[in-house]
Amino acid sequence: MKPYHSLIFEISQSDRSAVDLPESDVDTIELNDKFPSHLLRETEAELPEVPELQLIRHYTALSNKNYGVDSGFYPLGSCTMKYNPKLNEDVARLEGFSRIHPYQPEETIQGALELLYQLQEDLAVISGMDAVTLQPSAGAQGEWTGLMIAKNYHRQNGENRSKVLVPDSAHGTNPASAAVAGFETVTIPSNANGRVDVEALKEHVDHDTAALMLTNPSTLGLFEKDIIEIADIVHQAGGLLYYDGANANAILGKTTPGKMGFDIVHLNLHKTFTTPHGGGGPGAGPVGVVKELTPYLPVPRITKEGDQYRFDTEEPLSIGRVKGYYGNFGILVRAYTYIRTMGPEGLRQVSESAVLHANYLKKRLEPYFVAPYPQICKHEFVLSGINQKKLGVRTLDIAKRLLDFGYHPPTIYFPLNVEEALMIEPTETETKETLDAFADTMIQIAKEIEENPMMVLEAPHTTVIGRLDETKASRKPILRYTKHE
Amino acid sequence: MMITMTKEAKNQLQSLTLAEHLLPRIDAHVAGGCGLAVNFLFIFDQPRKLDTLYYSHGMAIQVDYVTQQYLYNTSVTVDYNEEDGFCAITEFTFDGNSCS
Repeated sequence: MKPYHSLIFEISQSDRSAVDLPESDVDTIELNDKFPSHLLRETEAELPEVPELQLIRHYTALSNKNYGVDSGFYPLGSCTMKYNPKLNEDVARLEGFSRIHPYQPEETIQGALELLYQLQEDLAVISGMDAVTLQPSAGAQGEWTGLMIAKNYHRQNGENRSKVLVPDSAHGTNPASAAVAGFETVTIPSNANGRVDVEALKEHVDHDTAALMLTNPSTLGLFEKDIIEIADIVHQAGGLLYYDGANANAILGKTTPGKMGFDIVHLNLHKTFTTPHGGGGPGAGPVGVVKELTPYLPVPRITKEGDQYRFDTEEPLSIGRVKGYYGNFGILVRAYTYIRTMGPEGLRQVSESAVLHANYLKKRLEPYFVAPYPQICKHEFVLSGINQKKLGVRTLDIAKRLLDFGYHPPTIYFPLNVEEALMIEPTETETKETLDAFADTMIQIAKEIEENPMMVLEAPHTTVIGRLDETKASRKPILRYTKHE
Repeated sequence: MMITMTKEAKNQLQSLTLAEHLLPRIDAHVAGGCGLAVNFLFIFDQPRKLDTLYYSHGMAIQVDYVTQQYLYNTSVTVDYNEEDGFCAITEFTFDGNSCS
């Protein structure tokens, strides 16, 4: 094993260092005189001691083990892993954006406030909503914010509605957010065509329904053709229609959730608007609402009076602040940069290309994998590995084998209503050559499953670490590093 | 992997007449998304390539390659009750996570 494949502590050797500090020119103090003895260490801190070059090689090697869109094709369904233009990064690093403080007086940050205001306006147009908050820091927080708006709206109308309806193909966060917001969730089944079963919806909608949460197109990549009827059913019962914007890449610039009858929308800037997927880092899930719900939006909102932009906190019906300060500002700068560089025509081209790419890839793979919903899809599609399962190979194995070819696997085993699911979203930013190379690899794997299944069952073969013992990791997790002498 | 069967499961299995092409199977059921959750089912299913056959009370039970990977060195108890039907009770289930 090369030393830079070890932990930094394992390559440490005493008396080596990356930095030589000069002799101290201030008097040394005795720690015992300044701190209670029980707060002082009894042994030296075991900090790693490595020369600078070894340090650089260690962390460079670690960074190279990451896989991202900049490394290769990443067709992770429903995650919209598209290229994040580097221009976004340049703009977010401009001093006027990166070196301001949230507590600066409004008059000294007019440019930043103008950007936030314009982004609110742009997202309102894109989503067909009347007003937008930029505060929520992730899609799931956007869902929760939207549901709290719905709850407060119903309460203001003297109703304490307790149910949120969620299709069986919904993202797992939908029922989770509903539960956190204090609602009971009711699952609406899909029909044979993979779309919301309208008759089942009618059976479940009643005057206790606060909202129906819907992704359109669905996680199966299918457009809900009955959306207008669905919206009418929910509205007639006094409920609200919530749009999960996870799949907004499919409709960008072509239509809006507002036109479909939605009342509340969250957008994932890290999916549709090319901000980095956080991996736990900063994100943004702006929420848009129709005029009737505007008073319930979080405060402060960015408003414009004359030619001045300001934080508006004066809204008695607001659900309050949902995020420290005003959202993740740097992420919002990146999304705004993307929207402005693309323009309306560019954004329309995004959804056209995303849909074209998904259908091209689907057509190439259908002869080798079962396509449970063979109709034309939107920006993503779902295949099933049920035929491969009969040959003893599961979708999990296909995903592992893809690692050998340098691809991030598609989303697997989701949606839950498709057996052995492979959910593929190529995005608009890939070339035809990349799509063809991926299709060729999938076809090769399909053939391997028939001719040499062990090649797939024992994959990956070319990664630094082979197939992980997930069972052992689950049963005997090692959660703390122990130094071996 | 060691498979044991409760008296209730054994009696119920012996009372069934299975179609010729179906055999009992212990099967890893995977639910995914951003993470994976694995639990184990007792079903009746056609043979799959690379299955291993285990025997309990003289009855053959199929297990495929992936399921074996999760259950090696463990014991599995097959149980039956009126409410849930057949269940494969394992020493663990394996939960993942999800995201948006």
